[in-house]
Amino acid sequence: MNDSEREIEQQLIANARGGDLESFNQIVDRYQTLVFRVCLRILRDSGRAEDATQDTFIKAYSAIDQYHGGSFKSWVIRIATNRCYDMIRAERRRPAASLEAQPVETQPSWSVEPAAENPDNYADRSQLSDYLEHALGQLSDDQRTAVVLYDIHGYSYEEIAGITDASLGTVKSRISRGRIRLRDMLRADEPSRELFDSVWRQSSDDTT
Amino acid sequence: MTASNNDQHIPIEELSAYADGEVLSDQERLVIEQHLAVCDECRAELESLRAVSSLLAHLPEPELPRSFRLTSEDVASTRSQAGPSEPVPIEPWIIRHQSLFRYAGLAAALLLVVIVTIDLIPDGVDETDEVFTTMEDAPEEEALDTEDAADPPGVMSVEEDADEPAIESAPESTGDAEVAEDQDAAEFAEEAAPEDLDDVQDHPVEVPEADDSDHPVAEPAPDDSDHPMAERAPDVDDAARLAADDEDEGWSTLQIAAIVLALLSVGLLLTGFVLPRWWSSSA
Repeated sequence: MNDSEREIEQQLIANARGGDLESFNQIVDRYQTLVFRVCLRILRDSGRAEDATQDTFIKAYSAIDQYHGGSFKSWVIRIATNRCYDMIRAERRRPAASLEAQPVETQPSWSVEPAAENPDNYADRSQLSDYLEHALGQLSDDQRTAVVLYDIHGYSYEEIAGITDASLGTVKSRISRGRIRLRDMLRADEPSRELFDSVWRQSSDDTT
Repeated sequence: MTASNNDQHIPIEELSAYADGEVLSDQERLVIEQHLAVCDECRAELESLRAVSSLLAHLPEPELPRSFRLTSEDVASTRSQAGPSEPVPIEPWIIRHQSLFRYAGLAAALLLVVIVTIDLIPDGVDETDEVFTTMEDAPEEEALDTEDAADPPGVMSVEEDADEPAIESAPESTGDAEVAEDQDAAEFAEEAAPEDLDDVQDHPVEVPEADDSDHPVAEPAPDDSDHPMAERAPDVDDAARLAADDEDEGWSTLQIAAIVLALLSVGLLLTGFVLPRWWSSSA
């Protein structure tokens, strides 16, 4: 985000603070995709992610007086992750509806935008993505959140520490352990190992 | 983890952070790079972590199922009464909550007045004497407390058991009456000791001993040592004495409540009225 965009955003926030709903909705336009995707990766259910996203923006609107500058992107994602964690905790208190009771999905249940890349590579990547989505679902909530925020959404370690109320060391450890578990799960069975190793060789070739 | 020692691999957590460029110091990065240059195993680990990151970064992203723009109904419940909100100045809690402290302080003071009034109304002026008696009693009872934790209940039970002789002359000044009471209590404690041994343990023996020492209870004793027995008016009604005892207990509870309320209201009023002014004058 460049300076003028940041200036516009701060103006929108100031207007929203004054009760201007349209200004706030322009902020919603900017962040709803991000918020929904983060919620979906944490909750792994489209319907619940929609609820969490809606709750996040209602909460952000009502609590906008508590935003004291800094990264709005971090502030709003902090609200979103807290909301997701609340929902997860609430579900765990009701064992009948717990995540463990649901069948484990290997295919993501949401529609995706096809990645724009080399079509030769696409089929492999796409299948590997399915494996990876499944593996992500096996991580602990904290590891998944940290990995998703860093590797998918590009937050820094420091920002993730602020968002998740954790120390820098904890974030570092969650990210590394999350990645290692993902890697080990991808290597665990034959089809996904072959796909992973081919991608791995490719990325090694790219970097060397 | 040392650069020169190739047997010691880089901890995977460090490799992961290194892959992200989140390694703390240049020194640390140098150590890792020197090791990677000679260690295929760590290099392979690093590449596998990078591959995971790269896969994650290229995960197909879900489309937005709908718009999450808020409607006026969505926000009706959250900020319905709030008009255009004023910018919130950054103030210390003394300023922000000063009205709360003021109201709380006034409420506490009002309650204090109510409590004091309620107990002044029914029995009139004589009651105030009782108040002072109780107030003067308090420190002595505390002194006994420090001497022996079992004392106060012991004394009370003794007084109740031995209520018949525990009579005092009404015309005497409250100070004398109080001394007489204490004296009586001590003596009756002594008398009652054999019966009440189970309840009060050692204290009935200790209390009379204290009379000879410099114990606070004993201090007034030498002056009035002759009086208590002589001054005891034989015609005072037992029931009245019992009632007086009950009154005393009621008063001491109310007394504590009144003192707590007084302190509370003073504290709250100071916080509500004086501290904010002090803060704004010093700021």
